[in-house]
Amino acid sequence: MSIDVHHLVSGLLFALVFLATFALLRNDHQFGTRRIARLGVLLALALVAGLVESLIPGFILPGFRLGLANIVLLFVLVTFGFYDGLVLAVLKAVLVSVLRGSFLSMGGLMALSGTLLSFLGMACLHYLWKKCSLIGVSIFGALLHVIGQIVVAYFFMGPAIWGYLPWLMLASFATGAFVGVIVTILIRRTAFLHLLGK
Amino acid sequence: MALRMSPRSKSIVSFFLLPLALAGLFSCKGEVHHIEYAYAYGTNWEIHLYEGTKADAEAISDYIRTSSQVLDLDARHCQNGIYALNHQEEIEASPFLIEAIQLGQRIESQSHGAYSISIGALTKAWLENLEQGKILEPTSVASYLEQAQATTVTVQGSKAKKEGSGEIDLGSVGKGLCLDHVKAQLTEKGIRKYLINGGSSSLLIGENSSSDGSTKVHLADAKGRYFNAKNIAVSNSAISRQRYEVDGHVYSHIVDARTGIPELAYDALCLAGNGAGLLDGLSTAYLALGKDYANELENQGIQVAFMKGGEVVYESAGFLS
Amino acid sequence: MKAPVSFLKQIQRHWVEILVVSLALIATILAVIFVSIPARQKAAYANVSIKGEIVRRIELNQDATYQVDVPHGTMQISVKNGKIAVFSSPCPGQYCVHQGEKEHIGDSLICAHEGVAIYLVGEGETTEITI
Repeated sequence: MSIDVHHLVSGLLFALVFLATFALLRNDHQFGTRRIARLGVLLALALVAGLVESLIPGFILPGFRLGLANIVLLFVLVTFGFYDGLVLAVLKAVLVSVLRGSFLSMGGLMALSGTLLSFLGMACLHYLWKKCSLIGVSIFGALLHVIGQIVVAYFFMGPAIWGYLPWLMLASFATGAFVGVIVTILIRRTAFLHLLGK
Repeated sequence: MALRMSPRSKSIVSFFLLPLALAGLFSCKGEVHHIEYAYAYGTNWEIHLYEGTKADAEAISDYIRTSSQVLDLDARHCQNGIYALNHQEEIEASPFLIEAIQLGQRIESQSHGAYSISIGALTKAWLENLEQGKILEPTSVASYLEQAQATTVTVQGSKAKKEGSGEIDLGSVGKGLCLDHVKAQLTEKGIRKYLINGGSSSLLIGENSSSDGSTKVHLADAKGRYFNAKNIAVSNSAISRQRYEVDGHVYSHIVDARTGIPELAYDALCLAGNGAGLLDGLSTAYLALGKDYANELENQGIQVAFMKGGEVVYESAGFLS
Repeated sequence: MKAPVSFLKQIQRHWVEILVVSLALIATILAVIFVSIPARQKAAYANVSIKGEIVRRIELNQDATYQVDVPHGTMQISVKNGKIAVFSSPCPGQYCVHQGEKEHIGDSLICAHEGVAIYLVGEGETTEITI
């Protein structure tokens, strides 16, 4: 049996999950185990959300997504912090594309770049402009998500793809606001988590 | 894991590093798609290359066009082609013609008599009559068949000789054989993403950029049925391409060499496997033979789908969806 | 739980943010008008599909009329100057005929009654064919 791309990719994925587990196991928290368990559930939630939303066909707009997974990512960013959120964002993007079978294709890379760019952007905005409401952060994240996707698509499909960006960004305002509202409600409803120290 | 930076600064730095990293990683060539068209072997060809250069695509379409001259029954100017073979005693044949003859003879031996390369005159006569709404008389059919059975082709080195008064017609293996050569050329150039479509009856399907690299092939003669093709040759013989109805009987352009009549029990046969030339001839032969012989094809690693009345009446396990 | 805040007070608190988002929204709408719409590319082919299966691929570079067999009869599709339109159709509502001409990538002509969808595509890879 010769070693080919598939073996390398699977190996890389295992390594990634391995490292992610170590990253999450940082022992600077009193409630480490509870945190891990909660993050695990939240990751599963993000994966399900990501898969479900990818099944919904984009209405003439390629790459249009409802951003349901961002609900989980933004929630984790706000309650658990940057690093946990980043790990979740990476794992979500990679695992959803693996499960969909589009891991190394243009679609998977678009999703990866979109998710990462949007998460990092939301983190920056949230930490730099503390007074910005979650709805604003979420809209910003949605905008960055489509930008990240289109930038990758450009390298695969040429300059024609830029024409779709304004339409997608327009849609992002709506989806971002929707996600933001849901996250705000969730944060309020789970305020007890903050009190317990996660 | 402690870089002495505040979480805020780390966020900002990673925010700007990421697009740079992505740009670096993905500054590869964008999507490529060269399309060429050609008219050859009596039908329209589409050459799609998703890799390589326009010159590569043009080279393929040129090859398809020039190779078809050799098997063109009316190409008088082609000294080493089939016209010369049919009208002269012995000729210095083009290697392509020699390959076609040998392939045709191989299929003949396998086809239980349903396929013959010497029924060119019979096929022509049928088409002429069917165009006018008439059929051939049984006596005519019998004499054509006799003529064909008395005709032989022998190959020695680079020479080919035809004995007998029948006409050799290798049209049913021509497209496929051409595709075999095209595949060799593509492999030589390292091009793996392509789709060559010869009149929707002979296809060479490589890979493409979709999620699993396969092309979905729908069957026109069986609505809703399809299969996923990747790195495979497909041959689809169907009577719908040239269909005639006379006195309640349905005729086509494919003559069953056992009966001498182009009336077949099936509407279409789709084969998928390796070796376009072989598949091409086999799809013609086995369309006449019928689904009871399907296992002979499957034993050669070929996937089979027989169609009749808009439905699939026989399919290899796991072939269609 | 925080005490519910009145709407006006919320606007007062977040006015900067609302302003930023509104400006971004206006900018995006302008981008749509001045970038997206002019950037639409002319399509090269039209994929005609009936109930999801592509039955015909029509080239838009030649003027011609095509007949396509649809469940309740025959549909006539005309191509002129790179634009495609449904000339006639056996459906009762005739919505497809009234949709007029389409010429850009991503445009579509739909006849719901017959299950016919004509999508205009560019020179993208052929990932589906009918033989």
